[in-house]
Amino acid sequence: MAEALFSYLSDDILVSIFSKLDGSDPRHRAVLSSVCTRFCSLLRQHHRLLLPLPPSHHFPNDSTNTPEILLKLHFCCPGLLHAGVVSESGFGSEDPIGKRRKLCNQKEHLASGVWSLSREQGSKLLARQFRDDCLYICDWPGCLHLEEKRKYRLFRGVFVDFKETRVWKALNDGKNKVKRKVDVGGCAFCKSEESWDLHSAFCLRRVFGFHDDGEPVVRAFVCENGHVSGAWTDVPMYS
Amino acid sequence: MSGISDTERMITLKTVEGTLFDVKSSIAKDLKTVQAFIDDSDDDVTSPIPLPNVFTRELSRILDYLNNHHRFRSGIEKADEEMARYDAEFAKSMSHEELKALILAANYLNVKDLLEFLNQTVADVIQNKSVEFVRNFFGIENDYTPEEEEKLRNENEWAFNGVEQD
Repeated sequence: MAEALFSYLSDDILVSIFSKLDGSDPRHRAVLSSVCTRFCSLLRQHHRLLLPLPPSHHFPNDSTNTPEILLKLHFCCPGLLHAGVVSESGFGSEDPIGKRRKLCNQKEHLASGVWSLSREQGSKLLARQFRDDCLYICDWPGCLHLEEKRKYRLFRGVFVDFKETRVWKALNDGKNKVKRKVDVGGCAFCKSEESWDLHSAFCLRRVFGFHDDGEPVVRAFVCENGHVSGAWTDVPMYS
Repeated sequence: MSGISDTERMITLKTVEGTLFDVKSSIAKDLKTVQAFIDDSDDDVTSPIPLPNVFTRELSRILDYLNNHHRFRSGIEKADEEMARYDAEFAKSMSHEELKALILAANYLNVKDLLEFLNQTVADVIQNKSVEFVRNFFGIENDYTPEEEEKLRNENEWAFNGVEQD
């Protein structure tokens, strides 16, 4: 009898029920999509209804921005590795007790902070000549990571139509093309292996400087699909 | 308002088991499927309207809900409070099986407000529950292969790791 009931429940009813769940928590979607293939397919079909997307933008529904990737961009912190704060060789803490805990901060995890992306935040990041490019970044304060040296506020975001942007053109400008590619363990969102350092490519605002130890105040990395991972740090009091 | 013939007109509904329910036409308006049937009939509907997909238990609950909500809405004070209290009791009084059966009936009869309320009730039930719980609730057989489940688990792992601070 119970099985029969499920087959009688129309897609409309199921979608209505899904839409009434607390949409701000991605774990619900993770659980529901694991229930059965029908739920997974409905969630994918109606993901725009269920996701807190900003009303003004429209992401083309293509392979570089699937529902799963868009979901991840909203809720998933890329972690210290993909945000370029630690390198793969520096993976893991020296302290044996802290080692396991630190490891989980270095890979992707549920972001703390605000779970929405805004274009305003994106345009604050870019140098003036790139302001026409459409970049969405998660809102301040990002996902806070307290490390030994300083606080890192990890952020993530995405360019709309990345291959049409001036940033993409700048990254692919002939002589500097290869130099700007970096290894941050791949993109946290689409697993693309190639990433570019936006800071050293002069795509970020000039006002972001460096700390005494040479670390940039703001760093950001972009993959070939326009997914951005990075970190803000507090501006030093004395330069 | 009394004395207007429309509000006194009674409609008779017949369930799967053959039970007859006399319903005021003002209540019947909320059963949009029934109302459409009435609107489509050229003459006044005198014989019982058959509801082949609706059982007595469900129709009784639906009419109870509608009668009470109409009563609250026509009252002057504290309607929202009373309605909220009634709705909470109404939801609590049903088992999960009864809740699901009621959704199917409310959907068939197209009772919009009740359906919204019932869907919210189900959302409240399954919120924060495990995959197994949700499958049991809906009577769903897992149709993923072990490989597919493993892939999903890996893809979703990040959502269950939170950032840890010192």
